[in-house]
Amino acid sequence: MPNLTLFEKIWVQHVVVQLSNDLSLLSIDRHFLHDLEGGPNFIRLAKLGYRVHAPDLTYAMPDHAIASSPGRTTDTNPTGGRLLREMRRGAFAAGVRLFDIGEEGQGIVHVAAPEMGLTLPGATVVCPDSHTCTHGAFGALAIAIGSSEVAHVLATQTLRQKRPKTMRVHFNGSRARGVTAKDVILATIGRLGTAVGRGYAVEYAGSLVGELTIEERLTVCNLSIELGSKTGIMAPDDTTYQYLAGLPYAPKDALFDQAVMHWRTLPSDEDAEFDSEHTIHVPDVAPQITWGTSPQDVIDVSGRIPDPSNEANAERRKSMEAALKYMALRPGDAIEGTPIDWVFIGSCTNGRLSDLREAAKALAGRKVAANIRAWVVPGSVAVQRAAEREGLHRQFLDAGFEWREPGCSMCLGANGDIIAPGERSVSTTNRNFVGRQGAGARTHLASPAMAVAAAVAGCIADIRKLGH
Amino acid sequence: MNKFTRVTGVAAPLMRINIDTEVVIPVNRLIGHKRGELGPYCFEAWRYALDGREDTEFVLNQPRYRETKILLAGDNFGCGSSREHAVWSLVDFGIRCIIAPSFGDIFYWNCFQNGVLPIRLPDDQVRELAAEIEAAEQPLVSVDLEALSITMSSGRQVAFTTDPERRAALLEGLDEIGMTLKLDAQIRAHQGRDRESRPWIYRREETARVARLLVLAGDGIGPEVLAEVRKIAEWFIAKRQLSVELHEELFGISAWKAYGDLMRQQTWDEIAAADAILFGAIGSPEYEKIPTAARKVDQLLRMRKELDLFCNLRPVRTLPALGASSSLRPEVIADCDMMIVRELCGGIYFGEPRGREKLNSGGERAVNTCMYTTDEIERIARAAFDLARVRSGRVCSVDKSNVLTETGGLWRDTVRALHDRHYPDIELNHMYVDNCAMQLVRAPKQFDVLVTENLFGDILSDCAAMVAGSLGMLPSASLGPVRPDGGRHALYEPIHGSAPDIAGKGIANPLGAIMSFALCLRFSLGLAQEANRLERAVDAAISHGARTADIVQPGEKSISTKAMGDAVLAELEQAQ
Repeated sequence: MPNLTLFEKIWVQHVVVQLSNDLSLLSIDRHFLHDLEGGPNFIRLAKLGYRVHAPDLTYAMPDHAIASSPGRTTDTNPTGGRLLREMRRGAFAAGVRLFDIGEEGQGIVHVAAPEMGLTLPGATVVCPDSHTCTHGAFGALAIAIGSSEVAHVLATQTLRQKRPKTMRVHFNGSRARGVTAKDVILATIGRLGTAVGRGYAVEYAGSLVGELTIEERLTVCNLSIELGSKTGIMAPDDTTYQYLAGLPYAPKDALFDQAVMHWRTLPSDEDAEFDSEHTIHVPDVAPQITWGTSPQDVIDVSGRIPDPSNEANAERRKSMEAALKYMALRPGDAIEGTPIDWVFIGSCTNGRLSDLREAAKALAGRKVAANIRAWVVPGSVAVQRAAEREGLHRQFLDAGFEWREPGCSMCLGANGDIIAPGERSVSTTNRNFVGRQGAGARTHLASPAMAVAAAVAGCIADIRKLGH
Repeated sequence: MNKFTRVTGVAAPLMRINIDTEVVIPVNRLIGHKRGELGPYCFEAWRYALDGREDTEFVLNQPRYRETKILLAGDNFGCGSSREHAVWSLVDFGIRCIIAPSFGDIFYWNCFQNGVLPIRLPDDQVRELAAEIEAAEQPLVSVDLEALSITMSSGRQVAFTTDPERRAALLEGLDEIGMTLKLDAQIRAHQGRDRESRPWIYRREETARVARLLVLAGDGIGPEVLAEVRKIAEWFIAKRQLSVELHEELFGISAWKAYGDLMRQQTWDEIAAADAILFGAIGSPEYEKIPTAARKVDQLLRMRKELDLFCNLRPVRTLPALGASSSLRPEVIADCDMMIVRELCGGIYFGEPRGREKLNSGGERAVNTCMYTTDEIERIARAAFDLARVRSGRVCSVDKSNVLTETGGLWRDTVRALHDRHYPDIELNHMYVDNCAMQLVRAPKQFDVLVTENLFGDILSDCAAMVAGSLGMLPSASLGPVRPDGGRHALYEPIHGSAPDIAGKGIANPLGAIMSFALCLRFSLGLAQEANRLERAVDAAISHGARTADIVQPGEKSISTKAMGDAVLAELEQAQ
């Protein structure tokens, strides 16, 4: 069939049966489990009397609830320990590969799985986490699922899914100095809003995509859910194939060559049509910082906090007022200079080796300001070990950062890594909702370089002004 | 799942936009509390101030809107995190229906999975309904999924639409998995085609690996019980897509008779090349007839040493149906489930110097040496801790460190250090071997995983065998270290010996050998669920009354080796 989008090609390949007009049964190539849902769903499946349909396509690792403190063990966070035990037993009983703490291969699932070559172009990937869209960076159809869907995939290796419409976001042009992939996607959400992608599969295209490294692509795709879309995808290209070559779980030798030949047929056809298109002029993007309680509440770091009275829509105005009250910010104030208490560098958005290198480079031997607590949590054991081989951890420790163990940690505080009510953080994460980092916690989303700038300055700061 | 046909109750307007799932249920609550208990934490951040007191302004706290069953909200309800717990907490709170102009995608579909009806209506209609509810004397509303209609307290009706398949499932309270599994044949057909067209999804190498299993039946009853194992393996190959090749070599007396050699080179090559060995037994009076020189090397010990099969696993569990077969009282052995992890390549069985010499003063002197290194102890302890992690989390390390302060002391220190450094989540205790022997017959239920050295393990596992009732029931696995390619040598054998007195009579119990094949499925072939399937089939055969001579009770009829194998096959077929 001619003129198909990347999304459509993958969708059509995976439809087992059409259940109704817009509901399809899709076969699933990769099912990733983490500690919040792994154990409970193995138990649930056993109770329902179903077996795991394809243990060889299922992979598990703890990330959300395990502690991140140095030398952490199974029970450092007792709840994490309980969940990890359940997952160990369930995975063993089903023959599912579990990457346990201490093992190379453990980490935040959206960091560790791609770096092992588990995510492949053209594959359907599911995981009970809204940031599953991250894997779309490889040209995979990566869909976030809920708990019942986990049990369904475990039992049938399929997913019932309503076919979304298609949207393309063009990123045209190159980034200005000091502007990262994180800033580009934050600015995009600020421009288009958190509802724009709802009901759509979003493809990111345009000249920028080809310039991005795999890790940068992962960062962009990671925030697709904050645009409202369950999936975000980018066309695979030679950068993708070179990244995958030789990874432990990627195909090898002749099988790899055969795969690449197929993968090259995946990118959207020339004349493929999308239901909706948007364009972002990348050179206009400046380093971003969120001010409110939604990723769309974002401005240039050099900008002023918006005034709700300028907002025509009553709902939106009320929402902005509530956000400003929660965040203790005043309309019209410059956001630069807002004092902070915490800096967190990590997460499935920006917890990869290139992110840590970017942060170390921005640090340039400076120190974390007094009264600031700052953490670096590497996204996986592999990232942690690579960073240590390069001495990055020394740079962070010498500056006054804590260097911690891989996991989701303070992104959402599921393991108890939270900040106190009223405390303000700059985080390289993906969500600044009310209470995300703890009850009453105030989160400002930013890039790793911007987080370092804030750590050094002791307040929200413009990385471009800090100098190297 | 609860059916949803018609719900009548209090409706409350919560007319905010972008209500995200994190404000519906915070992450610490969804981790700390089970489904069914999440009601108190629904909308926690809005219902309560930080000091825990109720915010009386919040709509759901107002007396008029207590016991809300139907919620009205603004755009994008349930956006953000995919947590299905958001729906569960709403259900636990009492809400069965949500009416909004739009919903977060993931949340929307999660509603249908849990008996909650999400209704999309245009923004202005939702506002109208909200206004009507606020003005009404009593905010009662009825939602009828069958009629696709909302009825207000005034009697006014508003029509709505929803996905027909989801509606049908909600009306019937149907579990989606069951609905999908009706299409199992189509799913498997699709997967079969997909394996051909996109093989890289399913494997990393060009050709799919076929595991090599080598059958060495050996002496005595070995060939009889392994014949049943072959039948079972062939069933898995035919019916469960087991991807293995069965090879067989003569071993023991039969090898001597055929080749004049107890271990010809070809046999050794097969042993080295196998992914796993399915072993029967050795032992026969006929060895006396073989010249001493030709039988100087114990070939089984040689295999263990050269393949470095250091990790011997002997699972022992009580089968309730066989309680009477044990020499121990039923209440003592009830509910036992232990795994004995025995170091198999070191210790006094292999230590040098060893020998026997005549003394000038008359008589002889014989020496055996018990020796262990830190590495040898660590690797077996690690295996035990890893196993405990997927069982009940307890390891009992057995030594004689009070007297053998050198080897025993090193053993205890090494196990403790490894535990403290890498396995603090495991409960470790230490026991002297003499006490352990007593505990095994006094209170065997206390054990989960035992780990010990070669000699002690040999003795204690035969002792523990009495818990299961018959040696004929018990399997074992001997595993080597994991190689860089991820594989490991392995040998699976029932723990009963060759039983020469019943050899050839067709009455031996094949279940120890069959359960050894189940261990092979689990530990060499990575097919835990197939292992579960076989183990359940054996349990079922026993509970349906199949008994060989070793486990038959007075008054029961015993069946042959073959018939027991057939009974297991029948249970496998039944469960297919």
